[in-house]
Amino acid sequence: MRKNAITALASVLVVGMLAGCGKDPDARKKIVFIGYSSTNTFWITLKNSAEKTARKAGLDFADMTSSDPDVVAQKAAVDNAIRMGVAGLVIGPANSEGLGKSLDKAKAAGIPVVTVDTRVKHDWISSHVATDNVAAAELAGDYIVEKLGGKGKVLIIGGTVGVQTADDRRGGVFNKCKAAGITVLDFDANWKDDEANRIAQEQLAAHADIGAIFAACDPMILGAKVAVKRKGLLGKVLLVGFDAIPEALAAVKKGELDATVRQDPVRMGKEGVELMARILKGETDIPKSIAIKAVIVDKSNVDEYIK
Amino acid sequence: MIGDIRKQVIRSAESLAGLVAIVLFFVILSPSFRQWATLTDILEQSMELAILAAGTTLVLISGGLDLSVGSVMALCTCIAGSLLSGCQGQAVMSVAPAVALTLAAGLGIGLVNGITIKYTGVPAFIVTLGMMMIARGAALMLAAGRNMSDFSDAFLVLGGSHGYTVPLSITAAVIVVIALLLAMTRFGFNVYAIGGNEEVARLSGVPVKRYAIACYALGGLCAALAAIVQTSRFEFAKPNRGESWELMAIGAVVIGGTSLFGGSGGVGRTVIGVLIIKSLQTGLSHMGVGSYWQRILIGVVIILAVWIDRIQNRRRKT
Repeated sequence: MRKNAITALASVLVVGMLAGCGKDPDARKKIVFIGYSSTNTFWITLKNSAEKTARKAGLDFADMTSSDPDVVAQKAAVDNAIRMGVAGLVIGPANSEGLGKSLDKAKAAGIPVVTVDTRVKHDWISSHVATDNVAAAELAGDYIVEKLGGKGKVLIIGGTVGVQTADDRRGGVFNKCKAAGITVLDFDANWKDDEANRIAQEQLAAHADIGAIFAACDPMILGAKVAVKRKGLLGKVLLVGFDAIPEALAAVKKGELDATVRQDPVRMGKEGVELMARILKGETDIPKSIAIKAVIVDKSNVDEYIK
Repeated sequence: MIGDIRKQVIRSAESLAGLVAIVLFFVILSPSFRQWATLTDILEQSMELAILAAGTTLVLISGGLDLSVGSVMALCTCIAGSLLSGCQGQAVMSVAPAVALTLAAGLGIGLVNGITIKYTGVPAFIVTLGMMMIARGAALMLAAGRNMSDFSDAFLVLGGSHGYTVPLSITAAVIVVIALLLAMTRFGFNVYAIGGNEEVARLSGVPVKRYAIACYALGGLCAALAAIVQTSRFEFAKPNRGESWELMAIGAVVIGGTSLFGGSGGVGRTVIGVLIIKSLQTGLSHMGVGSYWQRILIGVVIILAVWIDRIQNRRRKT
């Protein structure tokens, strides 16, 4: 019974694949976007920008992002898109590995792939668009070093060790602080605000001379902020986050958070699709990667970014 | 019965001794740990886990298991967050009905868990594992693209915006109510009976299903309450809250000495278990030990606690 079901499923897949091969050459070219997560504000902005750019370039656009950042769902989406016979794929990978087999299939079908944000090691990737996390974190590092003026230790609350984004963000601030001769307290909170809150509370108790806290994402710095507020140190300890989520921007405006680093999802979506459009036109001078610059948002410019 | 109580007191004294030993260890070794602020730090960090674990204690004593409470916390956070965000007059409703609705949601999910387990025969592990995914998915869906912050002051009081007396009192109230429920009422007596031997309890006329379902419902209610305190304390809601908290809660219950297989234990011990976990984390943090080592050591303590328990039990029998 089960065997029959598998055979049936397999034949449906094969027929589907064959059907996909019969492309109509005059049809508008269709690109498929598979983002990191369809519930994340950053990625929703990025997708909207990608969609707008595709329309402008005369391309059909389909979004096949799943709600969770799940590499298995992404593989299924890539396989589906290949079967549909799309012209190109723009992917925001859920992690650095795991997409390999599906990318092999894209290669076999000759469908170009552009990745956004997280880099995947695969020879078929035509181009990669991302914020340079190290450079962005170094911006934050410079900001902290300048504002501290040589006084106090810096507490770094990192994401998850071994995740490229987390390592880059932590590393950027760490190196700048070390270069300035500042003592760094280095902890990880796995991207979680409650863990960041606990670590901040404990470290503020253990070290009376903490002058600044940097967290590798905004929810974590907001968690740390609660501890700082609790200890009556708001305004005395510099607080810098990363990502510029709406809650963090509101906190910057209120003066409870000093700064956050803003990546540019609008430009990332636009550049990704523009690259794809150029590839589909047959251009050959495609850059292997494009780095998008980040900006520091603090009280002086926060109004530009609050909708 | 008298012997049981004596055994319970001895067991509680043992975990309390463990807590004292851990605290003394850090007081001696870490100068910064040696201040009164550390005590309030640990209490503040323990509130939400203590509320959650109080519910878990009840479920475990009744012989059940609930893996969904961490995700239920996340869902309740998002429910409260979406009902209350925007204090500039844009909030969906005022604080009291929003809190009541959130608590009702937690209670309702607990009820669904209990009823499904007791009336379909699907094991608690499976039902609550499924509910863990359902609740997490619902939380993510509810949070999609939504900014859940900017709460009114009346809500922020619950998490300690005017001092931590309010959330600490909520925590203490939950613990006292569940402790009294277990120790002084027919409900408590029957819950121990069901956890001890469900068949015997049923044959002696205890409405087993109703009591077991009530335990899951109260567990869900505790998860909702923990979520409310945490959302208020952090001043914003996020769907990734409570990840693996169900296991941390079970860990705290077990370190405290409540049996994983039902029939014995108590909520007072669970509080000791929570304090052991939090003191360990705080103490190690003061000594500059990172969160990965903290996790490893808590894992070791969980195993050690149950091992010591077994040795003591064997000694008492002979």
